[in-house]
Amino acid sequence: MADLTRREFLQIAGGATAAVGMLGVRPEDVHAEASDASPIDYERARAVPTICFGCTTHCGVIGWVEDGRVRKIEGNPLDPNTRGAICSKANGMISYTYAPTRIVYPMRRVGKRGEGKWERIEWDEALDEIASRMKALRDGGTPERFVFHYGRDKTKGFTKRFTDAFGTPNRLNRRSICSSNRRAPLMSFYGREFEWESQDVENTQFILNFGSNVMEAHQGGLFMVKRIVDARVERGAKLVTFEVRPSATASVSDEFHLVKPGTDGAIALAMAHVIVREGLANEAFWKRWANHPLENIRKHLEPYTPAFAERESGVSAADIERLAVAFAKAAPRCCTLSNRGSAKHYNGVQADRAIRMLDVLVGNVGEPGGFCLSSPRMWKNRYGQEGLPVVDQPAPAPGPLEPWKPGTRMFASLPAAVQERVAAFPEDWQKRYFGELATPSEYPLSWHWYPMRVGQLVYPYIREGRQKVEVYMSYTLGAAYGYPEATVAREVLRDETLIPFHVAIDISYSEQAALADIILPDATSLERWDAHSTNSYDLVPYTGIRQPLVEPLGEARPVQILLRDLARRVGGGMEHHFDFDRVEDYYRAWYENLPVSWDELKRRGIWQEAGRKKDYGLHERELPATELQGSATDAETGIIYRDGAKKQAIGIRVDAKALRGFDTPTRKITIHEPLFPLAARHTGLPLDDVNAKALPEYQPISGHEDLADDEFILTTFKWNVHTQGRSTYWKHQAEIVHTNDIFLSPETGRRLGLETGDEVTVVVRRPRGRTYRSGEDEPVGTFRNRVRLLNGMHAKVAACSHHAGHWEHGPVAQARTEEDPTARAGMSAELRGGDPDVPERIWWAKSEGGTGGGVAINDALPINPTPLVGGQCWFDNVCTLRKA
Amino acid sequence: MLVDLRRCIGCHACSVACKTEHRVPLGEFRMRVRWLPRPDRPGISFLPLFHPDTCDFGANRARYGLAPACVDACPTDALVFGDGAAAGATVTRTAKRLSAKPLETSTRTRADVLYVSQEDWHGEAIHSGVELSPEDTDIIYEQGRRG
Repeated sequence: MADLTRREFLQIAGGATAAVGMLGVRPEDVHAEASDASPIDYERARAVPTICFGCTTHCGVIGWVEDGRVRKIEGNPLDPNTRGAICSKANGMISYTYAPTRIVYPMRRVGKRGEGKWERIEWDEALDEIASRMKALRDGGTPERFVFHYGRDKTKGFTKRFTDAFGTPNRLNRRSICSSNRRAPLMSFYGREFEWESQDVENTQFILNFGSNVMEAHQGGLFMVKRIVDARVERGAKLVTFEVRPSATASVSDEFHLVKPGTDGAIALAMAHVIVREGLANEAFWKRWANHPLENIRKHLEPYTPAFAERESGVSAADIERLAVAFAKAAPRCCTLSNRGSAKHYNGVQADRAIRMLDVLVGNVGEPGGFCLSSPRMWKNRYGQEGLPVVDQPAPAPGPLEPWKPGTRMFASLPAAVQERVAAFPEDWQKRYFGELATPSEYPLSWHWYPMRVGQLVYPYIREGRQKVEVYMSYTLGAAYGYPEATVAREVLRDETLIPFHVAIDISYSEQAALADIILPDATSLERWDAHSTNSYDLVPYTGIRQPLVEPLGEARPVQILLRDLARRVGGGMEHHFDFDRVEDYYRAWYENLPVSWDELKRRGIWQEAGRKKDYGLHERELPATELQGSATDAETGIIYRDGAKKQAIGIRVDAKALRGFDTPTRKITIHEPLFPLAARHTGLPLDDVNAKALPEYQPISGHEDLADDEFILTTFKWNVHTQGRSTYWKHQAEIVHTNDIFLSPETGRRLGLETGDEVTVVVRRPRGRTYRSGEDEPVGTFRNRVRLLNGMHAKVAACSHHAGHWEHGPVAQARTEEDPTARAGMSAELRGGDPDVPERIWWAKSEGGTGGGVAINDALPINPTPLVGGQCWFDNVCTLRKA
Repeated sequence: MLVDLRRCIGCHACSVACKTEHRVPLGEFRMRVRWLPRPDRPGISFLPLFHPDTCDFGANRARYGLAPACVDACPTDALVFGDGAAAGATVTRTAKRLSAKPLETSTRTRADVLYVSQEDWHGEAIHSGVELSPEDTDIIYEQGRRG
């Protein structure tokens, strides 16, 4: 393990040395006395660089370790994304590593499932039982009945290695809960390598932000905050935000415009209308790189006038005109920004496509200060990774699984209606179809680019019998608390005919683990290895490693060891893919091609190629002769294919030059996407549905048009101190935000006779739209919560954060000061060493005169996947509010 | 200490770093960030405050030449720390250039903290300052103190 004193670390981290020097602090100048009982001894403590897991952004950090305990997390200045920044959640890793409900021994339920009674068991006993059940599935030829469902898996392919080696395609995730509606438009536009974009915000002059809360919650947000703040404060850049509530991002924006939820697409299309009408489009760029004629777009945009957008969104036509012109005039130093605010709606995929089109219209793509792309994935010589060493999991990786094509045993196991649909699929989709959980046939764009899946349909589909399950393994998953209509998740998880055996792997006891048969304790991010890569806002790809700072607490084991030992027990050849003794050896082999030694990588935590050219204009780069050798060019389109078979496009001829172009089938930007109508035809979605359109389009959300006086759009949101529902038990995070009042505008409060602190009853309706429904009964759900009036709320929006109201997860999350109600055999209460805060000092507990831990609301929010793509429409819910 | 409110995004990296570094008990703060609803326009104003008695600007860290935990953690460089008495110190020059001033308030806060871009309503809005109070209008923290 890297073992550094502070001085040694700062020597390699030049930036930090400079920063400290600049401050020029001399100890004798500090007059106050240290009041710490046991301050960190920075000469003695070890500094170990690793990767944060406080949220999904994954920042390079340094942990300080003293006496075998992690004391403090700081930023790693060598991370080119963060440049040494952290947020409040980094130190949350310490909270969760030493939490009283940390699981530290394998546990088996005694009594009924969900009864909450557990016994501590030995690892061998737990693994033997799980392996024998899994082996039976493999021996019986039904490996797909083993389902692995994760909430956060940053092993970069390790768990896939396990499920592939076992032979099940059912490695499920929660991407549709999070980001698939914004990933799909981006992959459609720029290719499957770009599920995430890298705006060059530090060099920009103008950011048009459609509902991204980048200052608090955006995945990759922390990479952008300092760059945006610097651009604004030092260089006068403008940040314009469309939001439904005064988020931190809205609060620090130069302009903050309130929009009706789900109308961002109308605004973006109206801005496109203005840009084209005013002759501000970059016609040369469009002609060179867009896959559809500008003339057609001009006609397509005619009805989307600023006046139309004003009627839909509430943003004034004059503002839309002004901002469209300002955006276009700042080109190429301008960019759009968007996320869940625009995307998590029934029309959200098209909204994001409309937003992405603005960048193409003004030609800022790949330009300094513009909308840039930088490879986010592990290095395998993919697009944008040319010349980088291959960094990949060690051989032998298991081979690909057999698709469920017509004629296979798997295909025959499908319901008749599904068989009919799949049999009619294009061959390209049939080759990638693996059953209804992994590749739901009604949502082909959830897996066309890569397997995003539709997580919120897993439990309803199991309930319907679309997939028989024998062994269900949930890994760091909080579905029983956090999925929409989590009641369905819990109903299925409780039903032993549907889920005969449930193994939960996690670091902490939770609502999900409470419904398991066996719980296995994972190591936390401070105790384990992982490979790391993400997109670079520095526009030079980099990689890094997560490494253990301390040994796992109790008998916790890193998931890699746990799965290796299971693979060895199941046998039948799968053990050959897990032939390592120490996890470190596995990752050392992973990084063996880096031109730095393993010890040096561990010392630095991060590696980036010095002097590499920034990722501007990737599409304008010429194909090298080595790649052109044996290639074939299509005379009509100019597309250059790898070989005469013309299957794999690698570039495009433009002005007699062989350019790389974009990583799409046409090597141009996909403004006109034939996949949407194609997918609609195959799933029976009417072609007039907004989700079926080849060009970006806007249609209002059904049910939002004429809201009654007591009807509101219920929107959820995240606070900057929280990470979904999994941070509520981190003590410092919970202290700052522990409840989830419903925010309303003062005007709404007056109309409903409500004041801050009053309680309301919220009744949530079934949504409309042509997509999956878990039921028809009204209402979906109801809950009571307090309201808080806040200037800057949209008058028709009720905003309620979704992290609160846990009934498991320990005293901090549950806001209780009595003896830990969930401490049971197998948990760490006796191991974590005196923390006088928990539970005694939880001042927000009701027993202390506080308001407790808030209200769980996810049970009342409907399962509502966007057609074709499957992203959950979190922000479409219509509810009524009545004073309780 | 210089606090540039144009740069603060209210992220709480500072206060959580402070509490972790110094093992500050729940319910107590050496510094924290207030989230005050703006009276003048929609939005929240973020205001880091430092306790006049318990904040020592990280004396234990200064011994090693390290900046205070809050300053080290700040992701936007909204907090700048240095020796205000030293001639030519960056913090002094920056404070002068940006007309940074102590917070104008009757509430006790550390007097040697200078703010850039403070609002004239801040002084009245902060009530108890660093300590939690039922009077706070913040949309965080004191949620637990009402009701």
